[in-house]
Amino acid sequence: MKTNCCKAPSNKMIKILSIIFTAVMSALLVAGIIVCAVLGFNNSHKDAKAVTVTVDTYAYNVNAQNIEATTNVVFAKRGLEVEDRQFATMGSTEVEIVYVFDNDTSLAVLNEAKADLDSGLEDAFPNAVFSVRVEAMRVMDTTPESYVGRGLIAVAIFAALSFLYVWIRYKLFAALYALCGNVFAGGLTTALIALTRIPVTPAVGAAIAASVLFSTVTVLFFFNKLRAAEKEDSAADKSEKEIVYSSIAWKETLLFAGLLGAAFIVMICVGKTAIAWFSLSAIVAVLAATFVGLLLVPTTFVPAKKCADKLAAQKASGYKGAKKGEKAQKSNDGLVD
Amino acid sequence: MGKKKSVVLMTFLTIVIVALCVITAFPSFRLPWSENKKDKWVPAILQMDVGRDFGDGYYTYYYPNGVITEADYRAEYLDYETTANEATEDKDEAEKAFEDFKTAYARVEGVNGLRFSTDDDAGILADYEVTKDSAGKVLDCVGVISEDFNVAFGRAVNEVKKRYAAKEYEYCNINVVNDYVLRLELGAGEKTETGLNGEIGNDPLTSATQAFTLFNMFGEFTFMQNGETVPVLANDDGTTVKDLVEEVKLKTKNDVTFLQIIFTAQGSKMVSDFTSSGATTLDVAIGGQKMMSVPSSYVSFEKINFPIAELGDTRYAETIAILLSSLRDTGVIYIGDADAYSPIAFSFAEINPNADIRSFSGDYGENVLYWVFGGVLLIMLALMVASVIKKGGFGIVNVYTNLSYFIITALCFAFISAGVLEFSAASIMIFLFGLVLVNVFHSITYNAIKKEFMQGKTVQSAVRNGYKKTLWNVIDVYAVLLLAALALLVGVANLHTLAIQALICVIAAAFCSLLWERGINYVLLSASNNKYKYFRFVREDDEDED
Repeated sequence: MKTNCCKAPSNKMIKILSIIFTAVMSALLVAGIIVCAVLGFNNSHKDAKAVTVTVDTYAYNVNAQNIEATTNVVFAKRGLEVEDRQFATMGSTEVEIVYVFDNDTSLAVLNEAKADLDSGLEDAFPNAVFSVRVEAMRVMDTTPESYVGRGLIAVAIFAALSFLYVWIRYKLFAALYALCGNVFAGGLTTALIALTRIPVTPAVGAAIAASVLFSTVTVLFFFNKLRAAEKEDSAADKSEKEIVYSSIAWKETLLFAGLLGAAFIVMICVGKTAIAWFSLSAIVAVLAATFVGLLLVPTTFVPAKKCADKLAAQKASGYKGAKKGEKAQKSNDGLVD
Repeated sequence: MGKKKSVVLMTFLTIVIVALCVITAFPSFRLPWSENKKDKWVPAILQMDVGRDFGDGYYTYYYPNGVITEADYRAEYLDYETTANEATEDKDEAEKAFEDFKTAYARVEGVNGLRFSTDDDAGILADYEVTKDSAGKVLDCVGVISEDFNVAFGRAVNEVKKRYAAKEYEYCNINVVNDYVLRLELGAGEKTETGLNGEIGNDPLTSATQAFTLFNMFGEFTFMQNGETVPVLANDDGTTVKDLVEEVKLKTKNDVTFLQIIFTAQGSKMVSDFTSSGATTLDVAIGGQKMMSVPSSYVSFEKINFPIAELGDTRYAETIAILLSSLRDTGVIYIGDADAYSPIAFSFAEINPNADIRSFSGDYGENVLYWVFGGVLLIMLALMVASVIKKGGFGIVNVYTNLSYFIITALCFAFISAGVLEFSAASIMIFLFGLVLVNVFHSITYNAIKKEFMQGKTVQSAVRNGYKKTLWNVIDVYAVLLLAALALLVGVANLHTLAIQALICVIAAAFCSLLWERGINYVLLSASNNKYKYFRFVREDDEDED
């Protein structure tokens, strides 16, 4: 006889898991909010200092490695740590190499390095044309004025539309829980990104928005399975808790989260540092959505289901069949007469 | 469906899908029959407009007129010095020119790497001090920036920021460098056939370089006729273009983008004077230089309705409209008193697209796009192989579905363009999201069919019931995701792009999950000899019999 290798956890285990994870996730959410309030996000575009070396294209093509080696020696001598390097071409005549340093780097030290580079490069490559400059860069915010406003409007429209849809398909309580689950997933993802200091780029913002989509999927898996469970004949003999817990969509949600997580891990492996950060934030979004769909919404839905069933029962108890209703009315009229 | 028909249909479908896969993803190569040996086959995935994440970027600097880098100063200094030292005839003149140059630009304490013109007409310095040695040679020239210049620079910076923000770029980075220079960085964006002056095909640039060269313009926005400023603006009664122009906007009709300059009542009077003057064009000028000539046929009393860009290229038109709106609203930025005898207008040095704009590779490295595509194809291959191993013939259905999803989304990403889509890291995420959904629903459907089969139903009946029972689960998820994508369309910049990409992926995934997979399954199942083996189903009572 074949056994099912992927057995769902027992009700007791679900309860324990939900308590532990809810406590942990709530603590992370609060910690993330505090970190966000105090330190803000780790903005990938921030004030910085830079040393820009411009050299004629021919000289660079012939001496590229030696030029880079010379600059690295100068920076090492001055104790300067290059955070980023950008290589650019200016038409076909010149190339420009930008060495980016932390904003706290001393301008005086950078100017000394510039002087070293001026003399060092000229001595090492007398036929090349160099120029070196030191730049202190201050970031300006170029977010379109309407970006945040329209982003919030978009979120509000989605919340309203999805609430209506889920209400029509799965009733009011399900709609409320789906909405709360989405909000929690988005908030938790944002908090975790702030907490882990993942450098924030527009792509990371998209990952936060995507966490809401991911949690929508996981929560709908649960509600769909719950609806199927409620229609079964054996549902009448089960408590609300048993029905809800047995409806947790373990396989579907873990398959969804597992495949998506694995895909982003592959992206981390093939991409370089910056895409790794973005993929990491996407994995955070998947984890948040998985928690919402597997534990948060199902385990907190039990009292809501009891309430919904009670209301449905009250509504149904006043119902009389059409013929019975007529008969009751006639006998009442007879009594009155 | 009969078996023969199924086999023919599947063969045809396989050929079509393979052909589309080749068009979508076959690696690039030089065409052997190309006359100039330069033509290349480029697959659709490499024709996508890539955003700053994977593609090139451009950056440039905006220097206020009268401000140069220390490096440029040093280079000129050396030239003058060499000329003075090596001159034999006119040595005195050469030495005087050298000394004059030394005092032409001053350094400012606390400002690194820049030199500022000492010319009063530049209006930059409040004062400057020249230090000389005992022989009267200039040793140093140190100045103090005037507060008026600080104010004017600040206003100009804000205006530049607003212009770029109005373009709602996916990626735009503006830095103030050394307190008095702007560094602007953009993704390359889509190549546009419209040159700087609106001509088609002569000087193809990217939209980034168009913005760089146009958005640094600060000068008076005027109208000209017959080479001279229109009388209503030329007289000294204080009338500005803001009194004549109510609004500048764009309108697109039949693939042509019209620049509309809506006139006020006073503007209509200007048009009336223009019409009666007999001039054939009304020129739009900035800083006294003609920007565009509008034939009189496009000028009415209410507005100018000028077809400024063809082929649906709205990028150039947008840039012009934003620039003119900005100049209309801000007017000329003066350094100091605008009513002074010779007011000094603030301006940035002109940008030479060939010399002043730097081009660099994607943030993530030059070849990372190929690595990412390789990674995505590897993920798809793994999903397809796992599906075939686990689900047999039904897994082959998943192969067709995955490939179809890939083809639809890749072709849409590549060919829905005109500034609508840029492929970025977020695009990868949305694509993978749709791909995983297709595979997850395939698994859910398989498990539902298997459950029905294990209850004793026939294969056909199990398939029918399995699809029926999973139908609403699939519809619900895709319906809500579709609503999310539609809601996100309200957003701007990268949110708007994400919404369009999400729409494409959700619709493609929904089509594949709800219709395409079922159709392919129907055909493949019809062609299958053994329906049990097709699904890799083994009933428990069959096992017991064995």
